[in-house]
Amino acid sequence: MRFLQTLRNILSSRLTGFDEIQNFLDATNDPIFVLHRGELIKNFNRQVTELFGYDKHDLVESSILKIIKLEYVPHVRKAIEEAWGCKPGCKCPTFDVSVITKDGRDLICELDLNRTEYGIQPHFRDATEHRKRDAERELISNINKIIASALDIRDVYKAIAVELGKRINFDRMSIALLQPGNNAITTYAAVTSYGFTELPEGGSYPLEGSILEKVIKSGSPFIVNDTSQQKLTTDRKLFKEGIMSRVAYPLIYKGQIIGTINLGSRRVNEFGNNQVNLLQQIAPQLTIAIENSKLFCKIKEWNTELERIVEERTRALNAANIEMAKKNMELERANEELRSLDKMKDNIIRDVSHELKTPVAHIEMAMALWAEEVKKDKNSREKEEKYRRIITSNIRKLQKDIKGILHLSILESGQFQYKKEPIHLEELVNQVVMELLLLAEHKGLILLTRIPDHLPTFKGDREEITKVIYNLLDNAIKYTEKGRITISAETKEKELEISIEDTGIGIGVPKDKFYKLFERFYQEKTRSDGIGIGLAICKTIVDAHGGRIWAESDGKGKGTAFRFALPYLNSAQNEQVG
Amino acid sequence: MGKTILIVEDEKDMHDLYSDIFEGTDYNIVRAYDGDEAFEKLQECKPSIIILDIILDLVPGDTFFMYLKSMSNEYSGIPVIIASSLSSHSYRNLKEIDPHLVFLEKPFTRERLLKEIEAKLM
Repeated sequence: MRFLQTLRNILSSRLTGFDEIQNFLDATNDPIFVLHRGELIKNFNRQVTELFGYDKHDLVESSILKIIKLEYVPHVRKAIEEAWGCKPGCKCPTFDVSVITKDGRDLICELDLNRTEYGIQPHFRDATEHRKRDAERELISNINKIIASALDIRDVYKAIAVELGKRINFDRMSIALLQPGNNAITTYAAVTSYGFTELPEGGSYPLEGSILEKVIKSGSPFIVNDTSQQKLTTDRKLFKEGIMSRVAYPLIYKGQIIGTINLGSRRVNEFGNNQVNLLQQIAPQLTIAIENSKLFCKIKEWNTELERIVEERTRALNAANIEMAKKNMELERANEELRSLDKMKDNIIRDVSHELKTPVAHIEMAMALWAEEVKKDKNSREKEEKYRRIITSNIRKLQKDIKGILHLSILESGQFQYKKEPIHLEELVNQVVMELLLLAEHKGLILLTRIPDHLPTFKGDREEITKVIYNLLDNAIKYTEKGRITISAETKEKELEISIEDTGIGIGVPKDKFYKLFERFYQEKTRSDGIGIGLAICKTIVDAHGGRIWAESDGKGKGTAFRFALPYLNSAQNEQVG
Repeated sequence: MGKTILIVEDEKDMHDLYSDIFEGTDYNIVRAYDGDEAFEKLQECKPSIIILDIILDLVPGDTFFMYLKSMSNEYSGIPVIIASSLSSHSYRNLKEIDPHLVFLEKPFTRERLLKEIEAKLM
């Protein structure tokens, strides 16, 4: 613009001599032509000769289009036409053209066509530098794009190497980062044009003797023009692989040098301001990318940790769910059991009421029939005896059942106080045997007692234990038609085991259901003692004494053994009790 | 020769009472002590009517009844009187199988039983 102003000043002072204009034109830094007619060159300055190589006789009175590359000719011709149409002093838009130099090179220039009173003045500016700046801008923009889009820092490094490679010559690029603790370096993305490198990617080496150390000390970029002088430890290494010159540019984050971007060349003196300037432009973005990547790695770590925690929690939750499902199943099973208990309760009420009602019905019907007989005066001794027997036996049965129910309900009420008196088993068994001997003999059964001498004494409720033995022996007699019944006792470790074995009808239910015999109101019809309560009473009493009771049988018709075991006292306790 | 009555009852006392009830009547009495035995006797004596208790050993009365009614031969048509000390309410489902089923709750009188049997055999 200053040039135009000067030009106008000159023109306004009505200077007419071309020499003066020539002097002025020569004083500018750019090639300028003067067209006096159409595209014909009237004159030009010496910069035209310097830059394009043409002399006056090459171009004067020739068309300017002669030096314009063919593809730009139509545009230039049109622009010149339009410029001739303008008033003097008018400036036409700038555009790029390619000029063919005398030695045949293409030179990109910006072209201004200035309309003056002397004609058109095409003013060329060498755009190579602009182009270079544009390319640099493009490079930085590309790198920034890569930095912004790449998640893996290694991709950033590689892309930077590619982009830088378009602008400057180098054979090796690496990023060196200070390790925490600041005395070692990690090399990243050692990109080489030759493959092998002494300082490979991921390698770690001491800070001492490295170019990074130099950079940190000086706080500025560091250039090694000739590694053959081997001033640095790393120079020696890189020299071996053919790197002759090096440059390192600091990567500064929050005022601290965190590392360098390094370039190496197989030529000496390869690096200068040009390269340093370029590195300067990408270093801040690269630093941010590195820090981002560190952050990203941290986030990734956190994520992994979070995923691990989530997975762990999920596993725990699943375990809890499985546990819950199990609990649900247990609950369902418990419910099922409750339902079946409920059904059992209904059955029990039904069966118990049946068992209580049946003898009453029998008594009532026997009495009615007896009364009829009496009324008809047909009363025979025989029938009278029969009715009396039916009535008596059913009353006894009723009494026994009712007594049993009452007994069990007292035992199970929790109010019952068992006595704790020393019991001599032999004495007690003999007492029961005496009571039932007649009944057994009446059925032709042999009753054997095998109680060894000097059985240990145990503490318990004599009356209740007597009831247990009585019940078991009574049952044995009831369910044995022939053979014998044996009552025996045996001293086991800590327990006294009492058995009542018979050769009777046996037990018809499967062995795994034997325990049910001891449940209240359980009736195995073939060996039902009325309402099925006798064995339940036995179990309640034995349990209360800390003992156990069980049945053994090889099946129907094969006899039965009922056994119960009671813990006995050791000799010291015996003395105390005694 | 009178008609045969099959009595299915687990208690000997009750069988004795039935004998007295039918003493002096024209009926033949056949005793069975459980459902299993009742099936055997059924084929032997071909009864005109069955008196059935519910609580029986092995095969209980209700099972025997349902089995009898599901048979495809002439036995399924044999009239049944259930005589039990259980309340008839618990066994009302049996009435759905045979609407003519008579349920006698123990104790019952001789007259009542004979009347029911006569009604069935008419």
